[in-house]
Amino acid sequence: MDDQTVDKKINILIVDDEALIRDNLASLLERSGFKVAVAVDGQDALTKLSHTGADLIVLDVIMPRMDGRETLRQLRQNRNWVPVILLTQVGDAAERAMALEEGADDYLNKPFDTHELIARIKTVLRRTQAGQPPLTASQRLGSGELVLDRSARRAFLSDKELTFTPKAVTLLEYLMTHPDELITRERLLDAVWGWDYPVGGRAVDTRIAEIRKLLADDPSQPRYIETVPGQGYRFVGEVVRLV
Amino acid sequence: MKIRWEWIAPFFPTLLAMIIVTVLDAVGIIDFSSSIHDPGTLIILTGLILTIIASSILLSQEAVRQMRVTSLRQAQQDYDGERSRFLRRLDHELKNPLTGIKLAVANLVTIEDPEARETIRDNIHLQVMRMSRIVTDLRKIADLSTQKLEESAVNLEDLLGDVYAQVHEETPANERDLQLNLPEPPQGLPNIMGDQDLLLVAIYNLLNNALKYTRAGDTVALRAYAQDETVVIEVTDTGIGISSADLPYIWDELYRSERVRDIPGSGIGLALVKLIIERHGGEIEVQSQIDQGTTVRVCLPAMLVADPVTRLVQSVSNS
Repeated sequence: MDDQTVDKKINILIVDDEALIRDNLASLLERSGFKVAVAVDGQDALTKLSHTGADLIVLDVIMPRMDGRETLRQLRQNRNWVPVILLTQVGDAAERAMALEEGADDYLNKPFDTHELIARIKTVLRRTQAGQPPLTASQRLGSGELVLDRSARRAFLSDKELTFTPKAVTLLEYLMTHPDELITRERLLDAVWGWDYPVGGRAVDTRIAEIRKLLADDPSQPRYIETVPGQGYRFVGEVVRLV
Repeated sequence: MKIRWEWIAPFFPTLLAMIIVTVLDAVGIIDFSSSIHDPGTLIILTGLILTIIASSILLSQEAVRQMRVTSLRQAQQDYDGERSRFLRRLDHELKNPLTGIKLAVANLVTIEDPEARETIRDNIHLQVMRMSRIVTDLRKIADLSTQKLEESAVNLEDLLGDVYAQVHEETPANERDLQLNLPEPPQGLPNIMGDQDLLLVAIYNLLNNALKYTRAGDTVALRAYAQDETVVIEVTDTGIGISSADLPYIWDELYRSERVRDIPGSGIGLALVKLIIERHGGEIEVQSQIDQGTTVRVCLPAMLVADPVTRLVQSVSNS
């Protein structure tokens, strides 16, 4: 392999204190065509980033010295918009909410499926534009007449407040921060609910119906949420940063 | 034995009375003659009565304390017992897939046939998935015991209909006679206040469990009705039943009866159901007979029902 091919490769920094995960993930991602560097905790990651940079970071949350949360906060405070995928804990709703709030581009619950991680990495890379903050860095997002105030957990349609359940707000937030992306029911369940029961697909459908009803969004001619039959949903409205 | 002051304290009133009488007698204020009409005798009697009252209060307090200690000790023992049973079960549940993985890894080192290697890798993957499931489910239970419920008015007719439809889709045709019995309008079911997603999981688990422990041709019925200020949801089956020896443990995490070892399951579903129902202020009970079937009954507090006129107005405005 000549140097030029190596240079063209996408650089991924894996940050995890668990050597077994770090090493196996590194070799897996290398085989998928990425160039991989590793760091053992947040501090190590920041040092390595300042030296070599990265196109995307896969960041574990629970680590000694400096955890993933603090690392992400420091990056974003320094207006470093390198895409970050957080590895969170299953079932911890607070941790998942935090992941998007603090400007992660996406997150995956541990133990995650490796194919899902690679798919997420590719989607995030496709979505992000170099040097641009991700949608998750904005506290207010808009799409047409819809405004989502992420920090206040409130949504408005033509300036009129919508009375969503907290779960529906989180679901809408996830869809709006991943616009134009087909998101499967399984992925929504994992990301928003943190569980994957067989009956979960119905739980997702019920919440989508709740959102659509309040947005007066016609599923056959959607302005906001499109159903991809047999697969999942896609936010089709154009999303803009309001703050 | 250490002398405890509270045991001596009740004698103080009598002692004090005797000292007072002795002093009064010595200085000549009274002339103590131990007659019942003597002021000295009355003082001593008062002291004695106070001693008796104090002692009885103390004794009853001690009895209560002892009872509390005994019941605390019992609770501790129960907890310890439950905990060690749980750890034994966890050990067992994790040991099996771990042993499988160990053997598979050992085989991977020696076996070269690509097809055989692929089978081994698939097996490892299956065992890993099994362990992830256990860990995820246990974590779910731990979270659920403390997390805040996302409550809203839940329409049980819709919810039960959804669960029924889902289970119906998953059940091969003609294998089980699946039934859904809901009260006909105008009665209907009152709404309940709760976390819709969790209730969906709970009822799904119950119905799915009933399907798991029935045989082809058996009946599984989901029924619900309003009773006083509660809603009763029943899942009845004509399946293999639960033995009386197993009944007390079916709600414990990871508990699985020896009788159903060949039916896949984690032993977490019912523990999760019980927790969800209890977090909603409800109750759950089970009746079962071997080879006859099982009935699980869930009672949930109904939301206050508006008077008939309001309901009529609501139904008209809804339609």
